[in-house]
Amino acid sequence: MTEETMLQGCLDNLPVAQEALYNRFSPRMLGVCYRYARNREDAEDMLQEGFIKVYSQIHQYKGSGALEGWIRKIIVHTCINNLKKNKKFSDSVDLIHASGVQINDSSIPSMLQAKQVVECIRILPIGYRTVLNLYAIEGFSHKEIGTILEIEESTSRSQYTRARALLEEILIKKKILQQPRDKVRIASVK
Amino acid sequence: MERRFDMSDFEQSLKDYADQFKMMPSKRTWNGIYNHLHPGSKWPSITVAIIFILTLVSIGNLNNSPNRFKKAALISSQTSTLQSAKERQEVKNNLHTGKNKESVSLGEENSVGKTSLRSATNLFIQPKDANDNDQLKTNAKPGKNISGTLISKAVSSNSIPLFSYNNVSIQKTASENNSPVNGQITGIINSEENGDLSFFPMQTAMLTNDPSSPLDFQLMNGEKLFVVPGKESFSMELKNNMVNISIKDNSGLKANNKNVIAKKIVRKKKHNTSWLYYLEPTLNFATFHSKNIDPSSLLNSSSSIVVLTNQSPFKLIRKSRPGFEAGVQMGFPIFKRLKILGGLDLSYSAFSSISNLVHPTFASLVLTDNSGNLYAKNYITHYGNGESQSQFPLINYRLETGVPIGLQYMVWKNDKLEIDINSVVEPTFVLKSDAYTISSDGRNYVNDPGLIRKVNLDGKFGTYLSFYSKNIKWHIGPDIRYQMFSSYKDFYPTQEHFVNYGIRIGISR
Repeated sequence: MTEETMLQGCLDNLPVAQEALYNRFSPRMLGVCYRYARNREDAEDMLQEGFIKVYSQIHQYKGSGALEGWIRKIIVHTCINNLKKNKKFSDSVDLIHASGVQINDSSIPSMLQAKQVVECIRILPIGYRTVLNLYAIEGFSHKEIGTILEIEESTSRSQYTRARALLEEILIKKKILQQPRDKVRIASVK
Repeated sequence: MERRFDMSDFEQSLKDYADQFKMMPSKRTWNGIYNHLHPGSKWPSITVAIIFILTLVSIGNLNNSPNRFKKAALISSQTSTLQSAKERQEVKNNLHTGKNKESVSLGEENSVGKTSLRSATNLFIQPKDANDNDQLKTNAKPGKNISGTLISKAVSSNSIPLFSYNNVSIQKTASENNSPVNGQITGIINSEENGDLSFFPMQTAMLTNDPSSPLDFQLMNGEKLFVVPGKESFSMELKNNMVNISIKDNSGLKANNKNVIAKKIVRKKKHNTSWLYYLEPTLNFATFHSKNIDPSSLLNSSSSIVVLTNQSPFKLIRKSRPGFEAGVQMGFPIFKRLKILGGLDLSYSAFSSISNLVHPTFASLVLTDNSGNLYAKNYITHYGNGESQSQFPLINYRLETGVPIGLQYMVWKNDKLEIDINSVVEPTFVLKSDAYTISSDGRNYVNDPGLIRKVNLDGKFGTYLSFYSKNIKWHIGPDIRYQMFSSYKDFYPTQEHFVNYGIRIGISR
């Protein structure tokens, strides 16, 4: 089924078209939700809520830009709203330094590289993780993040700095990060 | 969303790998979306569920109705109904012309059947109460009229029963079924202008309002009573489970003082299913028990990350919190003092652990797998164990539904009060919960609702006092509820059991 056919079918509220749209985009969108959620169940709840919004607002998609990008935008905002509703950001605490962390070993079961990186992101506290997702992956500016999360732009910057530092440390320990911190590139492992 | 163009290599790499990541959602997710978009498909199941619940509640209310009476219908071996308006008019004419009264000289004889009417018509009364229900309201209030519907039937017999009363249903007193029943009811039969015959009870000092099952009496040998409307009255006297029915002339002259003995019909005892609706404020605690495990094997293992720093003795502060329970309970009597209980309830239980904020740090929980081997699960947390200042509570709670099943024993009872003891077991299902557990080194709390067991079993024991107030039966009393299995799944070595103390307040009818 082509994208145009799917869109028209969704506008006509046809279950077949709606399911086709869902099957095409839900795996990647669930991956997006998983980066924001506390666990898989929460991620699926966010996905469900997000897709319901997608179907209800499908008439607003004018064709400018990719459909996947439009859906992803709705999904991300749904995830953020869900986190704000559950007041997860109140748990964020300033990290002055992470020197208190002690890691005795650094091995985890082998996984696909992408899943490794995502799992490392999910280890971060929810506040750091959200800012990191929005800035580094979704591409929002700190000003936009401040508006979305209702925090100061400076808070977003400091949260991101600390989140990145902690993530880099985790990635190094997991032997995913290979280069020095100032020129970091995540290694690709075949 | 505006994409930034100044992403560093790190961020770009991070984005690339994050974008590659995919997960397959479960069918539940699509089912939820589909049901939301197309709600019509789920309505039949919801409608059926609602109808089923309403049916159960209706059955319970009907079985527990206090004012059921045996129908006091005039039934002979040939029950009849009014055949036509013509017959009805003929009867009416006969009544008002008084011809039948002259013919029915009951005052001169002790037996009936020797007189005749011009119209060989048997008249039967089916007493109805003020609400037009077919029953004899033996607990009718003074002044309340009970009118009868004229029913006629042509018979070949030359007997002229003007009032036939074959089955009598009388509400018994508030006592055991086998104890003697005493009481009396007297009334006058009058004819109305529309041809109906009315029965006016003159005396209702008979029975209590205790909603007990009715006693049924049947006149022996098929005796029938014959009463002249307006001129005679009849009374029924219950004594020692026997009914004496006498008819006398209102003028005071001794007329047909026919004493009829009726015997009690032994009927199968009806079981009264009781329904109780209750609300119960509770105070919740938790008991803890930990298995001794040696995590040293984990430290030497290369397969896990474990944080076990400075394992020194620690003290945790936990506090009780209020909760509630609400539900409905059905009681089905199986013996004189014993009932089987069943029901459905919803409960909220919680306790708090005192914590304090710390810098985000790694913490580990040492868990056991199915084979009994140890492994560590790691978290980043900023909750301390409450040792320092700036303390605040972390709340462990569970909202669950359960199906209590058990027994109720009646310890003592009189007309007004009843004392029962209950004992039930209750499979429960956790609807919503949260759990903060102490890390293996005792220094931090970590939050992992995935550790919580979804299905559990509770035991409950209580003592209740019941009393009546304005046709409502109140129940009040303390009880205790204990969670039999740990709140956590087996792979978590610490056992936690909720204990709830509550005061149940309930009503039933």
